[in-house]
Amino acid sequence: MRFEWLVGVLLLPCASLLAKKTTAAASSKWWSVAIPHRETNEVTGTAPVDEISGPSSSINRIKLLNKSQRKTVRSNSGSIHAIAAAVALAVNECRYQFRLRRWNCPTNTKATGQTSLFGKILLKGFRETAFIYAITTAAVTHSVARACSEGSISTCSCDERDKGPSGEDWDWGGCSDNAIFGHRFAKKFVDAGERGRDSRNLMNIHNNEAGRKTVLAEMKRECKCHGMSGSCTIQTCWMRLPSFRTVGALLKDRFDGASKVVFNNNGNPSGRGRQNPSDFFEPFNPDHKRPNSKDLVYFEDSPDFCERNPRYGTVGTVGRICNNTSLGMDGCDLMCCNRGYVSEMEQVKERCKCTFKWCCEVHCLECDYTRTVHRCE
Amino acid sequence: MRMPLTRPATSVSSVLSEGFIKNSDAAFAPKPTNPNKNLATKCIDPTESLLKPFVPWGKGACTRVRDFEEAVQKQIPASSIVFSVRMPHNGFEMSKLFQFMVGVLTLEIEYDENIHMEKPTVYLEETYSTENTTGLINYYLTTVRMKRAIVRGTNMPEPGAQYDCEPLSLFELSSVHHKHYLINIRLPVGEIDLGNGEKKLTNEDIGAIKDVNIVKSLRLVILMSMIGITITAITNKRVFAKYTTFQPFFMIKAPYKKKHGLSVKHASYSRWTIFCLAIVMSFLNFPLEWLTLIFEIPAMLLISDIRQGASYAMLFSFWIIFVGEHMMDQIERNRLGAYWQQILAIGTACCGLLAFDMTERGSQLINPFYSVWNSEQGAKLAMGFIILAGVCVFVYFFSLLFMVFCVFRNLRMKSIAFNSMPKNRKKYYQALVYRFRFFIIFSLFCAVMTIIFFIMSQVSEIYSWHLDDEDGPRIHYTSGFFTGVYGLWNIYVLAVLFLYSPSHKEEPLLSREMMTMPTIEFPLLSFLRHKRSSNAITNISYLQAVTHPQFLLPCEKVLDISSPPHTRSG
Repeated sequence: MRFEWLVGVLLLPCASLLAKKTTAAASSKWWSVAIPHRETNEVTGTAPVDEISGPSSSINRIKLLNKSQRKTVRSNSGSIHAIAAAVALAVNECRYQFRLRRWNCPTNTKATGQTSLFGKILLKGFRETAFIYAITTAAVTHSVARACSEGSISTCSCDERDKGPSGEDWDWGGCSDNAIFGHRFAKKFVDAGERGRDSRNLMNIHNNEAGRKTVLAEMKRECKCHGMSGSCTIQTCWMRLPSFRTVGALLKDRFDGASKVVFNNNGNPSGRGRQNPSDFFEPFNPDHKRPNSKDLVYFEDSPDFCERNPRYGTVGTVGRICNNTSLGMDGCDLMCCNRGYVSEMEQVKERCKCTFKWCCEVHCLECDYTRTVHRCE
Repeated sequence: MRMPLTRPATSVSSVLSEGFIKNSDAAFAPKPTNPNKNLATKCIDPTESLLKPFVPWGKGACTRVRDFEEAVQKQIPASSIVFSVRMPHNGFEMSKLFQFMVGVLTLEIEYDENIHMEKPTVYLEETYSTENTTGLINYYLTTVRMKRAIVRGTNMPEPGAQYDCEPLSLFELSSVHHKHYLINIRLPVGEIDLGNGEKKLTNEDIGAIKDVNIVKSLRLVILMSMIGITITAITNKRVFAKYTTFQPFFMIKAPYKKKHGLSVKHASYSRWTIFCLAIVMSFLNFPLEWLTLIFEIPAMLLISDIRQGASYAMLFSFWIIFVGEHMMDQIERNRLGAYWQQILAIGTACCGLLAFDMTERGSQLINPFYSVWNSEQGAKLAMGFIILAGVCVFVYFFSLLFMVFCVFRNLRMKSIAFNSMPKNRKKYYQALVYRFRFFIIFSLFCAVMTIIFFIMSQVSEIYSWHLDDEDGPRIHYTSGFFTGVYGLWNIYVLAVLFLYSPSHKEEPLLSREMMTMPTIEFPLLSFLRHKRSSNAITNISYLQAVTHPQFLLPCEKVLDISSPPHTRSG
């Protein structure tokens, strides 16, 4: 292994040339595990992209992973379902958070496993790209931690380190803070896709970590006292996983405050030694502070996403519904890029006056509304 | 002059050093309880019968739905959904090393704009099965259980976020004797007969429950010790047990020997209390929990509660009697009747808590899901018992403080006369004052340390969960403090035993002298004080009075307190 770096240096020009075509696809290929592997691979715009199916399809799914990801999945049986659920979670959350923006987190309608779920935007270094990486990794962390507490991943442990005089890994079948395992799993699994050391890989690795950290930082401690007569002499405390909506909202905030960075040559590009990805970049504006490990970073300014652009795989905002009174991104002026909009009166049937009965029964009235809908031209 | 405390001092220092070893062990001990979160699997029970357990995984696993959207699509009614948790997870087995298991239920309720919840109450039907390698062996069913799911915090930022729900205690098992435990919970909807003809609509307003979690919490049999340090802990415990068991026999021997012509009835009450305290502490230290390694003892939690209660009661009684015997006033105190108020307070508090504990833990022997707090009357009754106990303890401490104050006042008065006393007697009283001061300071120190430990354990728990210090040392302060407090009070009792037990060594000179002229000073001193104010008596005349104790002999019966004054080797 001593000559690995030499090989790396020699092959670096070639690798970086190749990387332009391959790494993005390779690193993001794993997202396709969430897509049902059928003849008509269709992910419609609104339907949730989750389908947990039998063992035959999970073999197919594993084929979509690279070697080290496969190894991680195989050594943690049951994790593939968690990953599939994670992708669905991430896509739904991304769509929810970006429902009012020009770029509304579109996913490919044709996902054959060769192209990426989120399209060509991943080949760039936009803010949106940063968000996609962060939210998918956060989703894996969340979903794996959850699967651990359900018992569907058998290898979950509180701590992988067998250090310490008392044997830290003394968990007797699970523990309360499975998020640590989720974090570790997501790091091993997701970052395995980023094998290169170009700027985009570094950015992705940083944003992945930001996503994972956001989940962990939102863990809440809950306690219950059950000593004699309910006193707190004996107290049980555990960590509660945040709802993914909270994580999504936080990452959206981070998206809004993401830092643009430039890459320097301080780091050692061959990746030897333990180095933070953040060692390789510094803020674009030298007056800004360095992004910390929970901040999202990007290095290319986003396009306006107004028009259809096959280079990024975006469809533009033609036909999008906008809000003519809003001054925000969902306002018609901004959303339609000053192209103007068409207002129509539409009859909308909506559920209203719902009464909810646990579980699974929602009694609603159907109300007809006449509503003015504005669509971008 | 040699210190009167050489023998106990060496013993105490050895005990203290042992105590420090114990505490340093404890710093690396596991958490006092080992929490473990289980997300319930949503099984489908189309028959809605409660006769069959539903297993989430393994052989005969149930049919399940992934989430409630799926259930809505498939039109599965709420009553058919069974939340099933099998503990521990696949591939693991429960260990008999665990002393008890406590279950806490947490609900994940999603915020929905359309649903308004006002004081949501959850009605649960729970079943509980135990399982050995051969399969399910027991099946218990409890049905009626109302819980108020208090939703904390109402301002929800956006739909899809979760409510902050109060965790509900679910069950308590005093003995973890089986390999697997299976819990099934249902949240039935509809009209439920509550038993006494009263009907109630259940689970109408609990909102969009997304998931049910059960946090089980386990505690080791060998409290605050774990495999790595078990051996140390065992030896420690044995040493403690040995000291506390055998020491009292040495101590109590002396008065019975009648070497000084004493009869048993002269043995002061504090001696008996010390003896009882030693016995109770030995009982507390005796590793009775280890029996659960062999037998299934569902009453173990109850037994250990009673043990703990008995030791508290004994310690409280000891304090009051010890302080009482140092009062040095005119009241006859060598009988239990003299302390009736305090004893009554302790007794009432103990009985109240015992009654409460018997209803709570006693019922859990039959039904592990039972809790007094679930029914309104039960909660009121339980609260009543606890308030009664609290008031009694308050009264007790108030009177104890008052007595301590009196003792200090008396001691201050007595110490004025020290210089004018004969040497032996002066030494005796100085020792008495010294012992008492030491005792009070030591007790105070222990109390303060306990409070500090308690606060620090609360604080450190809050800040102990860090992300970034993954490589830093992981010390579970809580259990360290827990062990620390436990060890502290053990050392305390042990030190008290050493310091205040009667010596079996002979003190011929002093003893004989004291035998012939016991307890003269107090009436004399009051007399003296009175006279001093009028300057009618001088030190010389006082000494003369002391050297002629016959004058004051009638006081002997009244002041029994110092009748057999075995001082330390002086």
